[in-house]
Amino acid sequence: MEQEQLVRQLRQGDSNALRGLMALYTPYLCTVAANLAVPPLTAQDVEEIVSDAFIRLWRHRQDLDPERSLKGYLVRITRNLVVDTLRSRKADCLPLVDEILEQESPLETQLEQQEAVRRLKTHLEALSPVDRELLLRFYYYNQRTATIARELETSPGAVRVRLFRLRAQLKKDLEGEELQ
Amino acid sequence: MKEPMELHELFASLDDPRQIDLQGVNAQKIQNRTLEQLALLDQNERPAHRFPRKLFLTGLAAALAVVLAACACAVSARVWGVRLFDRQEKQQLQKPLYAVSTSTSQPGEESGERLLAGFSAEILDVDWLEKNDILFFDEVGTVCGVASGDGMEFPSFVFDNGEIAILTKEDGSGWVLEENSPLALSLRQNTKDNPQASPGGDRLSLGVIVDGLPHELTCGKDAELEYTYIPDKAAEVYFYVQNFSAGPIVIEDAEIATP
Repeated sequence: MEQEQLVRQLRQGDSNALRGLMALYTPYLCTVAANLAVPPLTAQDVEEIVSDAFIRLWRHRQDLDPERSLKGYLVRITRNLVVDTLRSRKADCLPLVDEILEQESPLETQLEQQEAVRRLKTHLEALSPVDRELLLRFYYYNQRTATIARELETSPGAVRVRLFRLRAQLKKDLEGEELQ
Repeated sequence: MKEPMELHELFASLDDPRQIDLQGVNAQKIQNRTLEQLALLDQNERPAHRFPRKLFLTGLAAALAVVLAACACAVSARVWGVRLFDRQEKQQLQKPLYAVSTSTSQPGEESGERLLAGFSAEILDVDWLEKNDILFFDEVGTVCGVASGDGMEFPSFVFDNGEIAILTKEDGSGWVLEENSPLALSLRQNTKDNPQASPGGDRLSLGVIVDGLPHELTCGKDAELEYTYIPDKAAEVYFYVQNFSAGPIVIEDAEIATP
């Protein structure tokens, strides 16, 4: 279903559109929430967070921007809800909250979303498989650097350094002038 | 003006074809809970004519809160010299590259940080680190020695892949050396009691921190390591070791002495 059509249906209060979105994005959002907050969140916490993300989407359906990705918007809500949940657990989880917030990288771009996505795909295709994997694990699956380092058999420091360089290259590509 | 976009949000627009592991979560429960909660919300929604009144009361409460907070700040600034935290000022602060906490070395001592490198934008620059082959400090801890004869003996310690142990004196300080005065370190990897250890020893890097700057001296797999460092100028020197193997390394019989 097209994005604009989904947003239109949501705005009209069509709960079938919400059901469709839930069927489509629930597994991905669960992965995002679980990867972000491993290990302090239980499966039940993750279920509640993802459910709350859909509820928040529904309640703010009138404010949705048809040009922004719904999936991206849901990821943003989910990340915020994970942070809120961890904050409510007080001291034990605060270092984790700080780490998650530090990972956020706002783009200073005037590109339309579609153009930004097109450039992102081109950028990823030009990268080596290892670098592409690193970016996808960190930004798409929201894996933590410690987890990535363990699974790729390297050190967290090496992962952070590589991500720093990859992020700088990517931002350069995405924050450039829009092609006419 | 467009709302800033986050990289996590932008990446979410991609479609990665890999199978996603639900990690023990029940997708059907999420759908049921969402629909139940929405049904409850619908029931509890208030009639529309109350909205303007609610808006007015919320606005009034917000305005009163702002006025009260402004008064409190003004009084605080005048009486105690307190002022609001400035986010821009915080952003301008640079984090130290690394620090040695003397509180871990001295159990009874008040907690505090002893900076080795200070605040340096140059050292924090990753390009600079790579160009100069400087280690990117990640997990750093200190191991404090106990004076024994002419040297300093260290308790056994374990550290994992990528982690760095800085060896310090009892008070958390380093060795203040004159030019060309040697400082010797010896240590042994305990491969017998470590089930993940390679029989001949695991890869370990040894380096010195001279006046706050780290320099790698050697990197190898020898289970027993001895090194004598001779500074080319007077400086405060710390030895450090970094675990470059996949698993944990157990260090025993570490000793630093001035031969």
